[in-house]
Amino acid sequence: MLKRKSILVILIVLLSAIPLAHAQGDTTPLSLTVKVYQDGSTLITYHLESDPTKVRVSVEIFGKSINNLIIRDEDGIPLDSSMTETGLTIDTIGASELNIVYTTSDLTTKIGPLWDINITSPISTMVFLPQGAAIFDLSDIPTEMGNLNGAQYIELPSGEVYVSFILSIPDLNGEALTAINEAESYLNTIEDQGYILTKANGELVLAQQLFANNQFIDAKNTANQAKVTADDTVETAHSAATEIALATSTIDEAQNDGRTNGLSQAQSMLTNAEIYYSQGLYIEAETAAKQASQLALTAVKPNGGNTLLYLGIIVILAAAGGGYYYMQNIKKKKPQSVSHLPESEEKKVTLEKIFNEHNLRIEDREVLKFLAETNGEAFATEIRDRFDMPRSSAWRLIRRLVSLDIVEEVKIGNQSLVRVRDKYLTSQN
Amino acid sequence: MSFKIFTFTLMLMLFLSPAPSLLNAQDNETDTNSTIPLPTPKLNTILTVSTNSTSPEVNEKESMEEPVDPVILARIREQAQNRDQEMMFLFNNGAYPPEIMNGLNHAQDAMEKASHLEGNNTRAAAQQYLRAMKQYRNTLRKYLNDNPDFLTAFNEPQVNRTASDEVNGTVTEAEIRATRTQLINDFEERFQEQITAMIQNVEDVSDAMSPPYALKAQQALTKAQQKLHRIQERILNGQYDEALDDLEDATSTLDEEFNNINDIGTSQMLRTMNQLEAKIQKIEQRTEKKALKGQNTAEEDALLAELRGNKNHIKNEYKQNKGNSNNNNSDGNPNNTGQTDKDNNKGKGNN
Repeated sequence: MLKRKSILVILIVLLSAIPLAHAQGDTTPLSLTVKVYQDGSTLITYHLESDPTKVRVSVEIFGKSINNLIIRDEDGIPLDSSMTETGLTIDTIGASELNIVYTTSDLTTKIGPLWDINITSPISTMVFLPQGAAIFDLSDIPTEMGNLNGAQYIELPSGEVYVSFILSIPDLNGEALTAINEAESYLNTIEDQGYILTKANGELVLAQQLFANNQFIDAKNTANQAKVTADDTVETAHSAATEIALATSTIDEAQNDGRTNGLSQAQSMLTNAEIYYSQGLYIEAETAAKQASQLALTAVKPNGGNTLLYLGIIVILAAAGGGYYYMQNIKKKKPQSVSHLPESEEKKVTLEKIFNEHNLRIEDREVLKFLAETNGEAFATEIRDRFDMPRSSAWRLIRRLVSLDIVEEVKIGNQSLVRVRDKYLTSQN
Repeated sequence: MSFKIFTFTLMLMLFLSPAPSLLNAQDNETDTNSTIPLPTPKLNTILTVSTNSTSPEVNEKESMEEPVDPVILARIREQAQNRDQEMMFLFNNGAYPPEIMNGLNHAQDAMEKASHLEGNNTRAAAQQYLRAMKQYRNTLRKYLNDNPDFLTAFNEPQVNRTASDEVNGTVTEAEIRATRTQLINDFEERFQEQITAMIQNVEDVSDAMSPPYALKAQQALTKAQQKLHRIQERILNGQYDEALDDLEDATSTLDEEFNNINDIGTSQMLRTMNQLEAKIQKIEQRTEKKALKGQNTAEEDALLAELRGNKNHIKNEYKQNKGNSNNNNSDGNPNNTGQTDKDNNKGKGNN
């Protein structure tokens, strides 16, 4: 009984193994071209010989889901067809050759960056790969191989036709070098603005060392990190500058209020902050400036004093009075129209607002601080004298502040009065 | 009992089934000559029945040892070397898991082997280069599988052209319908001419053909002629779809009836002749159309002469072979002739 079953099974298996390809008997493949595109779609061009005595033939095609199907006979006349489970039934009506063209995406698969094209072909097959494809595997030794307009073509023998390729092999060497050069240039641009990029430069040097050791991916990543670090440093520098400006104005306020006890410590801390800033230690500068502000805020008026101190104060007040008188005299010479505020009105420059809105150089900030001390305006000569600055440098600095719409310049006789814009002024009264 | 019948049926199916597929398998093999390939210009050189075939085993063995074209080998080498360099760049710091290191080492070994083999065995060298590339691919695939972050290093270019962009024009249903009508008319006309020519061809070789087979062939052709009358009527009435179905039936029936003649040589000669006639009629029709337009028909004329030459060659060869076989079977019994014809044909194929 078992033997009988075995015989039956063997016979059925043998029967099922018989190829059903006899429908293909009316045609003979002549050539097959598969052109692969970057998105994995393929253009199939299948050329067959057809039995001229036949009205209809069946043709096995490659891929189940096909588009843009065009079938022509040897005279280029379009032929009608219908899809079947195994391929196409074509109304050849006596054609002796068939040109079948269609597109399909069924023949390619992709895992990661690796593309595979796989077909079972009854004839040697010409495969055209997309431009820039790097071949990683072939089903057999090609019978033809070359390059046409930057695209590789391979002719593979019939049977299982298989090509594995990658569209973009990374040029790690080139990419790392580009990243290093870009980082170098980026850091230089920032340094030209007066910033000191100690950490970012260290990372750039590390990237160069990694490149020299052929560690291209790490080199590229480190170079890109150097750019990020440079951006962070600039941001920290801005914060530090803002804190320094704030500390300066807080100390000035304390000074004006006569809260001089403890103010020297604040002043000293502010000096430290400025030194740190000049050294590129922006985090330390920011911390010191904050401490300076805090110290200035906690400064108190002295309880009493000796004669010498009073005398000193009187002398300072007298000097300040003299200076004020001098300034008032000069201002009286100014035409009424140049000032929007009454003469008697005190003006305060909102340095914090300016520094928040603009990314200014240190010298620009210093001049603005000076203008804040001088009621928001000063002659160009005063600025030059105060900062011991050549005429051309002062001119450029003022032009820069004018172009940023922070100050305006008014001609008074032969003199040029630099005045902070109203939008940055607040009334003290 | 029923088991025996079932088994017998299966065995019969098994016995009968391979016949057409084997025949078709032979169609695709240009080296085998038991069938006559279709008479197209490209294959005309092998239309004659050649007998000096080589077994597939011998061909396979020869091709295994066949040297690879130096240009192809150079291109394979170039590809393998490029992959080698690229992998060196990708895996440059040496700190990778053992399976990755092994993969890279195997690939480099294959590269080295290939380089050594180039002087002695170009095919083996090419295979080693392919092996190296495959090793690199497998290693890369493994590494990417374990380190998906590494995928960011592969930036594919933007897709600028797809297969659909490349298709030249479209063909509308209306266009197909319009040309189909003309094709059916032309085919019907050619089929008629083809039948007429085939009647003459059968007449030409009837002396060498056993009378029952000659009769069968003539009957098949007469039946096709009768079917043509109905097809003509359908065409006149504009029933093109029905006409096409009838044409399919007529052509298939004729082919089947030639195929059913119980003598492989005669059956094959008739079918081949039929195909040749179809081709000849088609080219004659094309020549006529070109001549009417005043175009040069030299190419078609040459092709026609070649096809007619082939037709005559097949007829003569058939007459010669059958004449000899009939002389050996002088008893005139058609049953014996059939048997001898088959044996004779088998012998010829193996020569």
